[in-house]
Amino acid sequence: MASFSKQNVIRKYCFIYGMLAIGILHFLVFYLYVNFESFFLPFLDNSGNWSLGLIEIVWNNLKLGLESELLKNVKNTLIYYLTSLLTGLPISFFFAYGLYKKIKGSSFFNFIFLIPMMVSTVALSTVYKNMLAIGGPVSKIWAFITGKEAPLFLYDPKTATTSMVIYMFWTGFGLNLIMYAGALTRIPEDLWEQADLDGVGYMRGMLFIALPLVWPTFSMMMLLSAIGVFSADGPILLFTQGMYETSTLGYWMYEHVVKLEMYNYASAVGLFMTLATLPIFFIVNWLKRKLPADIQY
Amino acid sequence: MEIRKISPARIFTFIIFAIYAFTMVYALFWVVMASLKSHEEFIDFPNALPTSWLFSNYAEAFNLLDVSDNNMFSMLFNSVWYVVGASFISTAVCCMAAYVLARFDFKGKKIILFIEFTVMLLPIYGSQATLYKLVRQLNIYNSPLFLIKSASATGQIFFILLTFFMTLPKAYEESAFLDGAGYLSVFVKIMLPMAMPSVMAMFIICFISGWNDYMTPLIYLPDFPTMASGLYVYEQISKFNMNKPVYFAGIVLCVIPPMVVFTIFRNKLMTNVTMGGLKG
Repeated sequence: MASFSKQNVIRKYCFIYGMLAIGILHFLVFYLYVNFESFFLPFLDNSGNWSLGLIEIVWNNLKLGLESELLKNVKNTLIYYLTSLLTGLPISFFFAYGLYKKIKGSSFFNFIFLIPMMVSTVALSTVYKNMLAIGGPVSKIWAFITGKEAPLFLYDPKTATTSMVIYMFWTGFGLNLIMYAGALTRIPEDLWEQADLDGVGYMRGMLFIALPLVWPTFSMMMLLSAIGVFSADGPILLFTQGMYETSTLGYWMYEHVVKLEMYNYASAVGLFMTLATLPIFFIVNWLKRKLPADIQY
Repeated sequence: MEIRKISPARIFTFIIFAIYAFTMVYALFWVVMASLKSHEEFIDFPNALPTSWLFSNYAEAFNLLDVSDNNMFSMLFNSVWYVVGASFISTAVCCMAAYVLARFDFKGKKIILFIEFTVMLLPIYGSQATLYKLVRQLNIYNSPLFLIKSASATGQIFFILLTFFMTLPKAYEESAFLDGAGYLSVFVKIMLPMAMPSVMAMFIICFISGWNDYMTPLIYLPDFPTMASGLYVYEQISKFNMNKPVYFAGIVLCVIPPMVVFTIFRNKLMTNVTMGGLKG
């Protein structure tokens, strides 16, 4: 009997770790090794010797303050980050609630709102670029309203970032909207019937019934968004290739790794970015523990 | 007859929705119309309707849009193997890991779950350089073998499936175990069919995001351009010498597959994807 039970335990563990094997192997190679090495790269010079040279270069660049190339990238990154935070959370929720409450034409709107998720950003950005171009519909409307010639929206430092922020608003819905829609459909119907009887209106229903009930989903999305602060690289590669003062840290990293192959320098900047994110990580972790106990991830 | 009063909040929401929908529909309408013009007509009248509808632009797109000796047929083929392969691998690995972590208690479970949360919550930014180097060292750069990079059991897909498996009742597998079924057959024959709607929803999400992802193939598969990355590269290399309506026809062709997939599976997606549960 004891040997049968031991055999069963062995079988169970073989099954469990067999199921996890690929994931664990992937984690060891593509996460642990990669990040372990990227921690050391900034401390090596081009000949592979230990050196603090790259760290000093990055530090000196940051010390330039407003003139720092890296901090200019940080500024743009934060602009895109706040934009995606706004579209990904409150606006997506507002849209999802409208669809859930069956606003007139909601089936049609449902399809339309998810177009940015369905359609490649390459396609959408091409359309956007051409609509903003000279002779395109936006520049015609601009000229009609202001009586002046439209600016070169994406090719002028004064308007390039704003044009891309508008693009991000326009295309910022997608998975978040689906997440909220999924969570909203799980609210019991009788709750709404009761709310109707109590005269709860559309907005109060959103703020005082729907939002508290999907709060676990909302807060989880909020936490995930919060830590991705430096991942908000914006559509730079598609529109300006970092020109017209639009470069972000994400684009800077792409340029220095893929185009310039400056791996060590890119890793040194990455190290600073990771260190800057650590406080947010700890706050997020603390908040995660404070979430209601019945949350399932 | 009782006329139901519509609240101002609903009217306001409808107006916002309608404005947004108009901009999106107009943009798509504009690109479809532009794809049916001649090059000259597009230059002279970019916003007007085409005078003669050149559907031949769509046939031409398959020949003219060429990136490193890959025409649109090759790009379509690359998109299919890359996206289906990566979506299948990613969903399968996440599904297997989510199942055992949701349904079994075992030594090491807490550590693995801690790692899962940490990986998701701690972004490490300097790793792009090392990853690029590693992919080259492993000889999976610019090769279909790059698909192994998709075999990750972390991230949102994993957590959505974990949530789902945690909510399934224990009774089914317990009675199967009592009937003498093995662990693998319980997973394959009982739990997986029950989880299929959620697993399919995850596969579709991976498929659509993979189809639209231009960055990964651009960096790691330069000789295997997909529809998304190929059209991006084509635009960059032909900027000043491009037949724009034909290029727009390519853009429209690129958009069709994910739209079809999404339209078919929309309801499944909307009801099977959630993360974080519901309070109450």
